[in-house]
Order: sequence, then C-alpha cells, then structure tokens
Amino acid sequence: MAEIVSGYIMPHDPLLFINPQNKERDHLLAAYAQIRDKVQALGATNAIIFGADHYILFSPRCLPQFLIATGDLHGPIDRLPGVANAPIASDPDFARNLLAYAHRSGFDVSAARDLGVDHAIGVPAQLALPTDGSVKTVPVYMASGVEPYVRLQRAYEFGKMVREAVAAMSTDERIVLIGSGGISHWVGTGEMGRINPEFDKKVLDAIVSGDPSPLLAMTDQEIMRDGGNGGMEIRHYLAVMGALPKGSGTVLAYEAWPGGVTGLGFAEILPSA
Amino acid sequence: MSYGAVEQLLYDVSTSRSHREVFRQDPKVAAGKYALTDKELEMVVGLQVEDLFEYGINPMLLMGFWTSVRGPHSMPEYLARVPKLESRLEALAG
Repeated sequence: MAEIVSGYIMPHDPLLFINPQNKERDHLLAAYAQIRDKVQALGATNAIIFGADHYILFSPRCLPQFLIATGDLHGPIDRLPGVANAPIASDPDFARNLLAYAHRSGFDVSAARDLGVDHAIGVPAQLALPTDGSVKTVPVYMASGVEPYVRLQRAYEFGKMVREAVAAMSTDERIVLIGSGGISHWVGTGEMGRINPEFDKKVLDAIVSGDPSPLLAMTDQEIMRDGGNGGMEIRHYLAVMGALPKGSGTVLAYEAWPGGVTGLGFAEILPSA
Repeated sequence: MSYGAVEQLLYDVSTSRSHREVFRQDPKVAAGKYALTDKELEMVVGLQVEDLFEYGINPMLLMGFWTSVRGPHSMPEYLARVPKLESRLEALAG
C-alpha cells in the first residue's frame, strides 16, 4: 500500500542562487542537500510538491485555483545560477490517479499535460530530490501568488484529500510531500527586503507542534501585513500539514538571510505514530 | 475600466521576448493593441509604477514588467518609487 513517509517545507528565493551581495549561503544550500539525503534514505519514490505560480506560467486569462501536472516536466524555466532548466522525472500514472481522486473528492483541479515549471517547483525538484530521477515529481500549483487566492482552510483540506488519495492507492509508492515557499517576504512592493522573524517563528512553531490552528486562524490581510504578499505561500505548508495530521515537526534550518528578501525556513514533518 | 487588459499587457511584456522588444521600441504601439482606457495607457506607457500599484496591479507582475523593460539594474529606482503593500491594506480597510 502506498504511504506518505515524510513532509518538508523549504524556500525557493531566487536571490539565494543569484546572491547579488555575495553573502555566505553554503549552510542554506546544505539544507537542500540534507533533505535530499533524507529523501534518499527513506526510499521515496514520488514527491508531491506544492507551489505557487509567480505570474510566470498562468496569465490573467486563466488562473487555476489548483493545478496538477500529469505529463512531462522540465524547469525551472526562470533560469537561476546553479539550478539548471532541465528535465524533471515525472510519473504520469500517479499524477493522473491523484487528479482523478481529487475530482471524485470535490476538488475541481485543473490539469497540465506538459509543463515547464517555475522556481517554486523547480528549485525543490532539482535540489532536494535525488539527481538520478528515482523520485518522480508531481507538481501541485495553488493560487497563492495571484488573486483570487485559495482559502487557507481549502489548502489544508487539499492536503487531507492527498492523504486519503494515497491511502486508497493499492501500489507501493513511498511519497514525500514538499511545501515550497518562503516564510515572510514582500515581493514587488515598497517593503521588499523586509523580513519578519516573529511571523516566521509563529509559522515554524505551528509546524513543529503539528497544530495548524494558529495558521488557519489568520486572515489574508493579517498574513499580508505581517508576512507580506509572499507570506501567502504558507498555504503550501498547510497542505503538507493537512496530509500529515499531528505530524512531528523539526526545524532543519532557519535564517532571515541578509543576502535575500525572505525568511528562509527548512523543516521536516514526520507522520504521527 | 479594463484592469484585466492591463495585467495581460504586463504579463505579455514580462514573459514574451517578442512582446518585450515591441514594447521597448514603441510602447504606445505595443499598448495600443490592448483595450485600455486613456488613463491606463498613460500609466503603462509612462511606466507609472506608483499609479499602477494603486490601481491594484499584482506587485510581482508589476516588478516583472518593470525589470523586463528597464532591466534588473533598475530595481533600486523601482523600489524607491513603488508604494508599500501597507498602503493598499489601509485602503482596503477604509
């Protein structure tokens, strides 16, 4: 029977790779490698990565609330130093099964039959998964970067649906979940560069405790005020938490990195016993 | 009011090399292909990021549009001009 073996959260701040101020970052890049080692040690076969489009993939003419890519993948298409735009191993059968389960469960998820992903999916796929393609990626895009936003509760429920979908699979996949996104960050606004460690701590504390309620209680306006428009990406963490209820969280690394614009948090969530 | 058309123009310039080149060469001609009001045309052609932000344009899109047209080296000018998100939240709160 298929099972979810672990969950992770991690950032995808492009400045960590561009590093325009030439700041020390090896310890942060090492966090991706640490997660890659963990994924390998767990014998994972699939990674479901939750991310946001940054108004790169989907135009104002079509803005999906949820989208699952069910075909060939490559990326990140927004090229970053040290993160090649390269093929990403995919598992179309698994992705189609997840899509079908989502539809049966009342989530009217859009599909992409071929997708060049942006850095939200591309960074975790290229840096936090084994390079031999042994772990197949299933991208799940959520409307966390462009209005109308997915509601927080709905993001959490999507994670619950993923848990049920995996439990219903008769195959033997071992699945890791990745919530991709910065914690506090302001993108394209006058506050850009501000990081709010208090907001970041609140989010990481919720992940460590396994209790999503402090996050679900926030309004979008509160998130934007304290965590910036980029902070809306906590939806991806909530999806992971929804799939791993009462999971045991551990912060692997955190820094309000001065070379970038984002509170960079890396954490692991293990399934409850 | 054609807010969606403004965002579509900004998206096209940000993500398409050919749209970007046309806009750089002659912004009025490029923008003229979209159904914009006179005010919207003025904001877009003049790269009036202050007004476009206040108009409600997605900040990520606005930043991408600006850097596509003016180049990444112009980010300090962009950040000096673009309003804070705080101001938009205050406006929403009334």
